[in-house]
Order: sequence, then C-alpha cells, then structure tokens
Amino acid sequence: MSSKLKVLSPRQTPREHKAPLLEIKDLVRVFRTGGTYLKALDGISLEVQPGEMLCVLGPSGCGKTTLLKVLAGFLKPSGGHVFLRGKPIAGPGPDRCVVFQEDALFPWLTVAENIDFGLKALKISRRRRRELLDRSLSLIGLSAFRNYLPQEISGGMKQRVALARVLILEPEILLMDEPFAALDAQTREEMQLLLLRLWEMLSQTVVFVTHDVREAVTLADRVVVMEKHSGRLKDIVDIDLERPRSPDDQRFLSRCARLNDLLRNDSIACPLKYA
Amino acid sequence: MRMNDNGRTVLAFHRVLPWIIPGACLLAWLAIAEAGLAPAYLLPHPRTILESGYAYILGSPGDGMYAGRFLLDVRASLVRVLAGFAVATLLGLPLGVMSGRLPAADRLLSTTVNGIRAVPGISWLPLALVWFGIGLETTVFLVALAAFFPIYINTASGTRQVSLVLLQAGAMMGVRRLPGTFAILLPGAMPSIVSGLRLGLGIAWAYLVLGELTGVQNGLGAVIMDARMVGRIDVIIVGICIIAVIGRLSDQLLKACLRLSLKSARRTT
Repeated sequence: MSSKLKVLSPRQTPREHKAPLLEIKDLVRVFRTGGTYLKALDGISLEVQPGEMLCVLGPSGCGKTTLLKVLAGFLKPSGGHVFLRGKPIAGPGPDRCVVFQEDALFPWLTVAENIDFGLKALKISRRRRRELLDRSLSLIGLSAFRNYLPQEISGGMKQRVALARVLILEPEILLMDEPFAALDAQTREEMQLLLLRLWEMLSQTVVFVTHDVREAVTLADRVVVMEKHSGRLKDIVDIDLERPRSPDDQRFLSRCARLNDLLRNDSIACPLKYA
Repeated sequence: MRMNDNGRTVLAFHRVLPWIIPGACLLAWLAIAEAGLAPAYLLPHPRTILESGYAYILGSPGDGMYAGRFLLDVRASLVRVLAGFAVATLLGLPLGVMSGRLPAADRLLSTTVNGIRAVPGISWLPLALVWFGIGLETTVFLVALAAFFPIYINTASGTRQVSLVLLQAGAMMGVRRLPGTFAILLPGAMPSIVSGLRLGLGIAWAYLVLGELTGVQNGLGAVIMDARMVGRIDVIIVGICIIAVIGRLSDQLLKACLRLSLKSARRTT
C-alpha cells in the first residue's frame, strides 16, 4: 500500500474534506555524533486529521521518538516543514502537549498541583481552575489521591496524572511517547482503555508512538510504520475495526500479522527501494 | 519508625543514640580530671567549665572577668555570621544557577571560582585586615568568601542535574524561561541547594572565629582569643562548646525555615 494513498477509516469519513490538523512535509532531522552524521528522519511526509488517533510504530532506534520531539518543538527540523493548522511549529507550546515515557511529574508537587501546574500560566479565574481540576481528577479516577505525592503512587497512576495535566490544557494535538511501555501488562491494558475513553469523550487528536504492535492495533485509526535504520516511513496501515476491539478477534490478529510482517521485512529490505 | 510491640523501645533507643558519643567523652574527661592525669592548666575539671560557663552566660557584669558577656558576644557574632551568610547566598545562588544552566556562564566562572577556592581562607586574613581593618567588615568578608563556595557549587551541580524532561514538560505547558527558573529549576535542584546552604552556614561559623581572632572587642571568637592571652583555658572550652551548640542550632533552624517556607524543601529533602 502506498503511503500517498490515504484511506480514511469510517469514523473519519465526515471529516474527509477538512484541512489536516498537522501537516509534515519532507521532514529531515540529522544528528551529528563526533564526525559522523546520522539521519534519524529522512523525508517524512504525513498528514494527521483532526480527531484522529495515529500510531507511529517502529523498532527502537527507528526515529519515532525523534519525530515526536520535532512535533513537540523540542527539536528543530534539519529540513522540511511541520505545520499545525497551516502555521509552522516554532518551539514547544501548550497546543502540542507530550505524555513522556518516563517519570516526568514534578516530584515536589502533589497529584492535584501537578495537574494544576499548566493552568497557572493561563489567565483563568481561581474558581474555574478549581472546577477544571476536580473534573480532571475524576476523569482519571484519582480524586481520592489528589494530595498524594508522585513518589507515593503507582506507575500507572503517575501516567494517569501525566495524561490529565496535559488534557486539562485542551491541546490541539496530544503527543504520546511510549507512555505505557514501562507498565505491567494489566495496567497497560487499563491505560489503553482509559485513553480510548478520553479520546472519544474529548475528540482529542492523538499521535501515539509505540513499538508494541498489539498496542497500535488496539488504539489506532491508522498506523504509520517506520523503517528500522533509514529514518524513512515504510507504510501506513488503516485499522478499520470498530471499537472496542477484541484482541482475540480474527480481524484484530490479521492486522497484527500484517504489521508484524512489515516490521520483519525491514531487516532484509532493499535500501534502493526508496532511493 | 517501627510500630510494633517494641515501638516504644526502638523510639527511646533512637532518642538516646545521638548522645552516646558526647556522653562517653564527657565521662572520659571527668575520669581523667578526677584521677589527676592531666594538669588543670591543660584540661580543667568539667566542674570548672560548668562554673565558668554559668558565670559567662548568666552572671552579671562585674562578678568576674568574663561574667555576663555572653549576650553581647553572641549578638555580635550572629550579626557577622548572618551578614556574611546573606552576602554568600545572594551571590552564590544566582551565580550557581547560571553556571548550572548556561554553559557559557560556567566556562566564564568555573576557572576563576575554582582558582580562588583553592586558596585557604586563612591566607585572605592579612589582606582583609589591610583592606578593611579590624572589625565587622573583615569578618563579614571572610565569612562570605568561605560560605560562597559550597552554596555556589551545590547550586550549580543541583541545577545542572535537573532532569531535561521536567524542563521540557514545563516548556510544553507554556511556562517561560524566567518563571520556569522559579517554578521548576530551583524546586528541582532543592535537595542540592539545601545542602549547599547548610554547608555554607556551617563554614560561616568556622570563619567567624577566624575573623574574630584579629582583636575585635566582642564576639565568641574574640572571647576565645582573649581567654588564651590570659590563660583562661576554661573560658576557651566554654567558647568552643557554645559555638558547637549555636552552630548546630542554627543548622536546624535553617533547615526548619527552608522546610516551612518552601514546598520543594519540605517534600524532597
């Protein structure tokens, strides 16, 4: 399947004619280590539609985290462009929030204070802030833990807080960098369900980076598969399954198999194919 | 603290633990003095110390050479320590933050600072005397100079080690650089900053005595020096004990103040 051919999942059909929320054009990012140059991203072109759940799938070292960092504004592109609603991205900002893989909560703030942190920078009334905070705490089911410190709660709870503190800012696009990779299997599944629930409730656009095929098939409208070392985009696969998706379903398994194939072929892929 | 049937005993044990070494030293001293193993002009009897200490702290002026001078001395010393410590903090904190976060500032400062740091504080004494004369300025200069380094170095290493992810998290949530310094950088570096301030205050007391050995009228260091001249070794020991107690108290007071006023100090140190 060509990456240029865009097949929208049924959910997105009504939005077909809308302008893309995020537009990535010929994105290149080069790192210099010592005297050698490493192309982490090489000519990535991609569009993300409003309300879409897009997964970026690839083995470690494929450049998927670099892509996310460029989208977040933590890294500047070496070439190409990234537009959000038609405007080029310049540096990090609350319109593109990240849920990090590792512990990124402020350890000296309680659960409630961590979630409230970004609101302080906005000019909204104390009462409104309080309302938003209470709603947010109940959305992630941590109202009873509002006065706990990050070191006193579990890894899954921490990631809930990390999710809440950015969702409260109503970002245009939510960027997630393998946010559930460090959690145990059961908690990871819970978090995926929570994310899907919030995504549907808030019609939030999400770019979700993962190396886990099943996670991608569970979550995504579309899965962008990256090549292992070239920093190029290999394919875009539509996951046209209704939600909730059962991992035992034959169609679920066949999507997994297809993605696994794409990842495996990688190691023997001919580099000339895209040259 | 363990909360089992032995909870009370464990608690009592932990209360006693810090006093075992001072108590043992005191007993050994008492034994040596009672047995007459050391002459009184080298090591006076603990009783003498108690009497001199009592006279020094609670006696009324005129009862004896050092009677009732305590308040005057301690006030003079506190002013010098606090002034020097304040100067050291006002310079050490901002310069430390800059060194920790700005590579250019670090390159600019580190050679000079580490060069000056290599000079023993005592070698500044003659120069300080020439520059500032005998009195408050010399002591404050020496105290500030000595307390600056631990504050600067710990602040720099603390801010350098603040996780990049925390700073990125702040940036994406719309926190700009200057507010971020107070909202993220300083709280994130707080454990190091607190140790730097505590070390700085400790060393401030050490250099206070050095600064007061120069012949100022009042001060705990001045009393010690004065007592040496007239051979009152009991008063020297009283002075040492008082500095030990006040130094320890001021450290705990500093810690308590920081924990009371700063969330990050309360929750991460």
